[in-house]
Amino acid sequence: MSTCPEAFSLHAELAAVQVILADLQRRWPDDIALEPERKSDYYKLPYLFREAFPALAGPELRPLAVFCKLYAGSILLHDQIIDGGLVDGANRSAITTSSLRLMAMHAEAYHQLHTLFPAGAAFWDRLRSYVAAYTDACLAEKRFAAGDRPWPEYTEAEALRIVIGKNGPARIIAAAMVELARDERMLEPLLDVTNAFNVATQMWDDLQDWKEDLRQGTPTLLLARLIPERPAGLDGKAGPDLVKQLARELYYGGHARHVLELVLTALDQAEQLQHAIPDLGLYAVTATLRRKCEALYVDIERIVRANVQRARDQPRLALVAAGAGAAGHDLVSGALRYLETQWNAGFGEARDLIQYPEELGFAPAETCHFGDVFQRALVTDTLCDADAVLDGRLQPIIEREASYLVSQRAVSATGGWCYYADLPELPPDADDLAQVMQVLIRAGRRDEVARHGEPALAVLLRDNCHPDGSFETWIVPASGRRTPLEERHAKLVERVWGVGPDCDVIPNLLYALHLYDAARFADPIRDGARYLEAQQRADGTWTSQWYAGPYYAIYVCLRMFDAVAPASPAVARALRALRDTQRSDGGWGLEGAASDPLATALALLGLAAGQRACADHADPSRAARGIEYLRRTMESDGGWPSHALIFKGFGAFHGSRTLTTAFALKAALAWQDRRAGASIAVAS
Amino acid sequence: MNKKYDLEIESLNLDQLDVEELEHRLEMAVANAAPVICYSNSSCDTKSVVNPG
Repeated sequence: MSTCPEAFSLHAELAAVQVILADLQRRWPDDIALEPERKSDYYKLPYLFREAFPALAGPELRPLAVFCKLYAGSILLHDQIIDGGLVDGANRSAITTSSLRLMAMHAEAYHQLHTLFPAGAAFWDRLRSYVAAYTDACLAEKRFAAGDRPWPEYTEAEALRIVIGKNGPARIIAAAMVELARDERMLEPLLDVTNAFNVATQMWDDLQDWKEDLRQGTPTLLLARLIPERPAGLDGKAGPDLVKQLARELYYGGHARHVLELVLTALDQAEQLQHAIPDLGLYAVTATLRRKCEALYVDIERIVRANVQRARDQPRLALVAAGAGAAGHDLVSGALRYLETQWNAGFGEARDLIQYPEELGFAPAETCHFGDVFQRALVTDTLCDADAVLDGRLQPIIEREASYLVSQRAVSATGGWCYYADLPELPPDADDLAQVMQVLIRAGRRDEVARHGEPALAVLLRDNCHPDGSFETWIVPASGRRTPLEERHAKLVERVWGVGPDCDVIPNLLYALHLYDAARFADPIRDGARYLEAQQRADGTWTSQWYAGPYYAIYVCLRMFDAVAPASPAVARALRALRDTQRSDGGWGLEGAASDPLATALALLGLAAGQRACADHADPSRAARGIEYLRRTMESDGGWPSHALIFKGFGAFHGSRTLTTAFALKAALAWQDRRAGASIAVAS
Repeated sequence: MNKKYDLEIESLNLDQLDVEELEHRLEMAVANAAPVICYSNSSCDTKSVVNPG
């Protein structure tokens, strides 16, 4: 045992462990890989306990770290085998290889321990007892999974007994370090800590994987609370509905919350040594898990309470389709039925969620931000279209949605609306402003555009416009006019959100300005339209920064040109782009991908917007084929699948079934005979 | 469990209550969880660290 610990570098130690593993690997056939496939912080466990044994130097722990990686990796592999993950008709030889890998990993793992501990060391008895407890726990778990023991016997106490039994590997590490350091005092405290930590991670894992556990019939504390017996019928037609039902019970029955409380209680116990060993490496891991659990707990509570309140307070809408069978009618009534369901549920499906990396300096990485302003404004715009066909019977929804949008405005001198209303670092933007303005205008609330939209509009047109007629997406006052938060906005626009005008945002606001007051805003509308004409590519499309594929930008540009400059040559070019890219199945799709209902709906909307200026005799037939594609791809609940639409940054896009359905409905209404709408009845 | 909360739920039809957002939120927590220590469950997969998803 070293008496003068060297400076410790975890990175250097892990690299040294890999060198040892690579050397061991050379002694085995190529197919017998010693390196585990799965990553896990577990492999660093000796280093996470290091501060409890300050006399142990890093190099002394290397054989233990090698053991840990091999042994823990073998357990993960073993789990794959016994859970049947490798049983595949086409790949049964994987079981043979995996079994042989287990033998190799165990042989090398125990060899590492033999270099550390002589045959008579107390450690070996402890290792045996921990491995035996592990096997006993696994067998107990399997008896429940196989139905040999009834699920009602899977009590919380039994679940925790099994979890602690399965903590064998961590107990082995604790016992090994106690033996190496010859410090028996740390054994029981470390065992308590690792047992508690294992409970925390297992409960967290049970929540994450509850659907997979349900499918496999694996009992967990969470599932035993949800269902009284081993699940049956999941593979049948009723399976998805059963899972949905259980999901509701999981959240609204308080079971998710209960499990998170168990995690946090276990973490409290795991952190019991913090006063004595504040720098224990494990506590960085427990702190991270704690933050994630707490953030999730808070959000689940908030969402559940908001949904319960809404179900109690919001009048339910019921659309009843009458006279079904009219051409196009089933598509419209189906889509309306789907949107009705989503409205009754509070549009949770459409809500966008994001977590930003901590390096950006926002809230802690676990904080989740929610955004639904833009989405609900898009949906409400479609409902305004439908309302015109339904003779005003959707007004109650439109009114409530308009009020909601107003409530989500940015509370600052600049005002406007932000894509994530709960993210202070995000400035208001021209796209949200445009979309909300359109809804408020169509809902007869121009006064609220004046009150809540004009300040942001004023900043945009004064400080964010360019001589070429374009304007920025982000609404940030000029330097010298900013609040401290707006200074932060300006820096983040440079560093994160992005500067420059966007051809898929400008037309949306120009259209809103046209609806709002075409005469007053004639100059920016004219200049903006000219900018977009100049930006149009040779193939008739525009660069899209914020939307997946070309069709959204084409649609909003064509809609704008139809309103403000129908004679623009850009119209014919854009229409040609739409006509030329329709596929043989009647749909449209992104490059390299199959046709999809979202691209199809957007293309149909673009085609409709260009009819006044530049109709082609074949357009009705094109539209009919596109509508037929939408009808074929509509799902049984009246909605369409989610497809990527809005770019969120970090390479991710947001999409939802609600948005696809809203655009599909808008497209169908744009092309449908208005007479069909009279047969849809509305009740509330 | 909060008793007042229970009574509110009991009077409602569970089918009326949305789970999509809750499921999405759980997926976010899973996707952004570092692969902590999950050796005891084979269905625990490695997830990407930064995924605004």
